[in-house]
Amino acid sequence: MEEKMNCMDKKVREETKEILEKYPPEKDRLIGILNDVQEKYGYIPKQAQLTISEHLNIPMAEIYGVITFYSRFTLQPKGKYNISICLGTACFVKGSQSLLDRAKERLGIESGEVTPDGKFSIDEVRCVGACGLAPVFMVNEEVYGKATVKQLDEVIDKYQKEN
Amino acid sequence: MNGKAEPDDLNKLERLANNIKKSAICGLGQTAPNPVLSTLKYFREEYVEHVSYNKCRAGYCRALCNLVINPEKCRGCGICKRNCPVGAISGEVKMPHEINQKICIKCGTCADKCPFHAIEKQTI
Amino acid sequence: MGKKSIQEIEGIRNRKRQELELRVNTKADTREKHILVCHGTGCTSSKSPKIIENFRKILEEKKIENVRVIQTGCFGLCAKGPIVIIRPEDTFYAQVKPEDCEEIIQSHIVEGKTVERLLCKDIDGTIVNRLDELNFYKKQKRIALKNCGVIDPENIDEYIAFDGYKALYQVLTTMSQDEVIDEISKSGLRGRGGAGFPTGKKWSFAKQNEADQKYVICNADEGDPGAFMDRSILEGDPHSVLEAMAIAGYSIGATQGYIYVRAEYPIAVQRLKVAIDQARDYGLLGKDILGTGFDFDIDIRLGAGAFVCGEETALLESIEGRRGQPRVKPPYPANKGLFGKPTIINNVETLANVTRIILNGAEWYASIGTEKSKGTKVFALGGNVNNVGLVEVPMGTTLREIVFDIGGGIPNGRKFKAAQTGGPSGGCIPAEHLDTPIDYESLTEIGSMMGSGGLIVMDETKCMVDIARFYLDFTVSESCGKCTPCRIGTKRMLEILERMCERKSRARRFKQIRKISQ
Repeated sequence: MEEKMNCMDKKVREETKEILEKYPPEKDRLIGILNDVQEKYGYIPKQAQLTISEHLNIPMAEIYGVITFYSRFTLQPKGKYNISICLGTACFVKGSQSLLDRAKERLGIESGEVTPDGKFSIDEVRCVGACGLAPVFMVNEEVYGKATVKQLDEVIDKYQKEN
Repeated sequence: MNGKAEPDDLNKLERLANNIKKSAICGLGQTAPNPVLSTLKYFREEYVEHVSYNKCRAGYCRALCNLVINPEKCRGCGICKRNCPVGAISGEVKMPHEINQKICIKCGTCADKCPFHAIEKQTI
Repeated sequence: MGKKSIQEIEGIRNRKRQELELRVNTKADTREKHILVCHGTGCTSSKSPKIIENFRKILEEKKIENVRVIQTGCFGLCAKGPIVIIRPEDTFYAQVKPEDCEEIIQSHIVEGKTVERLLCKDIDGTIVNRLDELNFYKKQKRIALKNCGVIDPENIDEYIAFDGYKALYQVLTTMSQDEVIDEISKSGLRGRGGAGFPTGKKWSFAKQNEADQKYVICNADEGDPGAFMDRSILEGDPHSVLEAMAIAGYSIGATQGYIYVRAEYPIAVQRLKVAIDQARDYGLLGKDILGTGFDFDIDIRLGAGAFVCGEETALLESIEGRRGQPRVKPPYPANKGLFGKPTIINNVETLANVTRIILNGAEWYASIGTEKSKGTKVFALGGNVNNVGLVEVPMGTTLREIVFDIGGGIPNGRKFKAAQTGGPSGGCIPAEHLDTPIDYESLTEIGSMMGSGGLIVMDETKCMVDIARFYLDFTVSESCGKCTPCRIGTKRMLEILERMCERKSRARRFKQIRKISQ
């Protein structure tokens, strides 16, 4: 059934096919493929899901089940600045909960949500493995170790001023 | 501000923990109650204090502690007073300030903002 | 490069070992200096790549030869990172910043004077000139971590220099499958992922089963919050794991291995990819390894953020492309595992011990540790303790020794309240049990467990009810949902704990608790 696709959908379709070509056409490679798609787009677009479903002959419902099971895969894009706060034990014991509370307070959103302007999103992560630097938060790939609420405030201020 | 624990909660917690241990199908479910069971074993008094006396001896659980301004550290700068969302802090400029525990909602903003770390948590 | 014969490997080994003598011997006869910079995740986020870059740039500008800058794995004392060690003298510079590189080169390398202000200081303030003078290292015995901080993990020749791939050759040419399994069994090695199942026994079950295909899987899904032992081994000494998997494959009759590693460890993934490529290039992985006719290859499979996939059957489901929900056991993976074939799943740290056991002998390994817990254990020491970092101690070392002698005690003049071992599956150990020897049985007896190695120290400002709530919060969000006791039961427990701590709770009345719990 040919659906009417817009330009964006076509692009996603093409690019997903390129990713699929790097793998043998086997169902068990689904998670590796989804990881590549997540890394490329910051989420798993519906067109990508459809393309994978057709290519590997996996029902959409099953793909949806896998995406929602693993916390790394998201159905919505993240904010431009994704603030991940580590709530692993070592960080928690050093006070990372107050970092999380502060982020929620400043941005007015809960974990897993994106601000209406798409600029910020908050994520809770469980241990990035830098326990020697507890407490830790990250903004995209940048790590802030031995973090304080003040530091978080400054970082949010900095990005908020950007246009 | 009281903790909302009910008197029977300790028993329920323990029974739940023991039953989950026996009936979960994988190692993770079977060991999930361990942190609860071990803290109950060695720190039962803390649980009892939380439930029966609404007290947190570590001074950690916000709802169970009072925020108090240490008059020896307070410089009367007024930053806490200005930032308090419910107007619970009073005091004159350059004089030690005070938090009205009846109005305080324990949000902790004052403690976060105080540049002299003069605001401390005290168990009730 | 290309495929190497055993003679060529031995040639590399001898040549390189002489070259790298200064890495392990302060009295090495050499005119070279090696600047070792920790390139593990912790120090990397504190700008160690920039430090490496600066050193190289300055050395080039000053036209200094005979000095090499080497990236290494984790030295262990993360609290003092970024760490720079100058060999052969073993000078230990702590909390180095990229701006310090100029001074280190000018003062230490050119003028021969140590930079006093950057020298590492022990807890009591004494300046330490050499790494092995630190109290932190004195009670440690680094077996699984022996190469971390010594070699460049992205250079296979350096691995070979320190007996790399020697154990594999020994196994393939002088030992039968049963002899290998026997040796591992005699050593007393037990699973380091947490459960402590005897490794030799697991391998023997898999070997006994007849099948057209068998698998060796390395469980690198280190999910316990606060644990980074496996990550450090993968980042600092990846070849150790590859070689061990090949040995395991030989002993059970498998030709394919998978490393299931969490995607949240990008540096570890990168190091593994490099190591696998290099091993394949030399013919140490792939077909007809070292001309012995043995085939074995390894591929990486990434995790996707599910803690439960650290459970071995959930891990299998994940590799098979499905939701990571555990399978009912029996059948056990050694009988029916990946794609229904006999499979062994071993933890990273367990595997890191294998080559050492083959080369030094089961008796040597069994002489370390206690009666039922042989060898050493790597711990990720964290929380309210001075020397936060990675430690490896003989089994039987007491908790007190780890927290106070090695860990340097509790900061800010506070008191020890409890230590958590085993992560969300473990328990808290109070002060009255500080003299408990760390081994599988003793920890279980006092209500905790060994776990994978996360050891979180807590002082008197920690509320134990809130700690229980914290772990349960984690468990609830990571529950796979398959069985009711975990899916519903843990949520109910969390609600009770939240009420006790008066966090935002949507607790309902518990009139049905009795029905649910029965």
